[in-house]
Amino acid sequence: MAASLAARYRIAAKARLVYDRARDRHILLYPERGLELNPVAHAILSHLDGETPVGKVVATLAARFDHVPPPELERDVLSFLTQLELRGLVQAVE
Amino acid sequence: MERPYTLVAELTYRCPLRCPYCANPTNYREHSEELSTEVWCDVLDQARDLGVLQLHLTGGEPLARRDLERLVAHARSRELYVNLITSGIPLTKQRLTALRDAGLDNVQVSVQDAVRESADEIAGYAGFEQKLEVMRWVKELSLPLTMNVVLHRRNLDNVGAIIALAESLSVDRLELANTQYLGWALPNRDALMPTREALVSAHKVAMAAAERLRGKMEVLFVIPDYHARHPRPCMDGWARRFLHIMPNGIVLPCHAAVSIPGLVHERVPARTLQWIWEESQAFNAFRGEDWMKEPCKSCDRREIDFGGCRCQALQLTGDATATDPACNRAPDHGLVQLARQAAQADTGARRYLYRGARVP
Repeated sequence: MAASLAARYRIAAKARLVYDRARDRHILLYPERGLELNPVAHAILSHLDGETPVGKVVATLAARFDHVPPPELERDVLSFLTQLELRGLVQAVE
Repeated sequence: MERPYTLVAELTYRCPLRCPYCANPTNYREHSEELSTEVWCDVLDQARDLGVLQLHLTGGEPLARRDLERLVAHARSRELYVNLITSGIPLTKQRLTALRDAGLDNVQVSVQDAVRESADEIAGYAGFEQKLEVMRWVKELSLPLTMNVVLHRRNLDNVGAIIALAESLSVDRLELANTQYLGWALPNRDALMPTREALVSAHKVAMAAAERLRGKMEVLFVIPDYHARHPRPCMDGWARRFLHIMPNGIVLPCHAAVSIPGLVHERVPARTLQWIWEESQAFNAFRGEDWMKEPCKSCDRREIDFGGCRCQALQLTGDATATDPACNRAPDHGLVQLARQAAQADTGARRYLYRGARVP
């Protein structure tokens, strides 16, 4: 189970993206826990709509995070999504 | 100072079940007055402003509150992650649908054993079949489902069957939580505490299932502190992450802390949550390390397990500042060793003191 550039993802039903105002950070909440997100991780998750292919999400992020070399960004996005899918926090849409 | 992350809201102490390990205080009737809907909504607003992100609605049985839908909707409008901790009794599919539509994020159903006869005997209530029905509804309504089973002498050998039951219901997260001897569980300790062999064997079954079901069902096995070498890091440290509110508005760092004499019980709405969190005597009583005595004070694990559980220290030694006797470095560890030895002796059936009965 590894993410691919053609796949389309959405955040799983049990997880919710929330801005934690008190600590000024974004967080992905799920039962009992939460995953603190850095700006790139937050940007990835906020682009998951179940329709946009991962490749297009990477392209959008590349424009915003232009200090990260594109191949590195692509690797980061794919590995982040693979990890989150294993934890059941994102789901590939068929 | 750290900010609270989780609010445990005990909405009521009413409950049809009579589980002998109920975590509610044994004198719960003295705290049975209940906050109004308006006060709870204001408390949820304050909690969110203070940094709370996770909300557990519990009791007693939270379904006994007729305003539960309103509280769920309010919590969700403040972007809290709302978990309902319930026995599933009494509930209809229609009400569960309304709760989902109000914004419920997760449902946690308690189950007492894998089969009806034993489950109903442990709960002191014939509710097993209804619980299965409720869990099917949860899945039909596409809500994430946690099944929580408190483990003890009577059901520990059935862990394999409990896991199979959870699989058949497509449970998302299975919590196999060994009994903690606080609340009603302490007077029931002899009837609940398992042998070491039963524990080791159930642990193996649970770990194998966790591996086999990875990615499909999360299986969690909480090792009981009486059988561990180190105490559990109770509440992740006193007043570090958790806020606990009793039905009558008393705010505490944990559900059992009301049992500790000398703590000043502050309440909402008379005080603000922020004041209670930051300034109150109870929240500062065991915060940090200043309260610690030896061997905790110089222990290399003091930032890992925080000296263990204050309530357990009090209940076993009479001193809430003592090292938790579950710790093998504790001067009073012998008390836990004695309880373990007693559990090894086979004395046949042991009677429960059900929740609600007169405590001797």
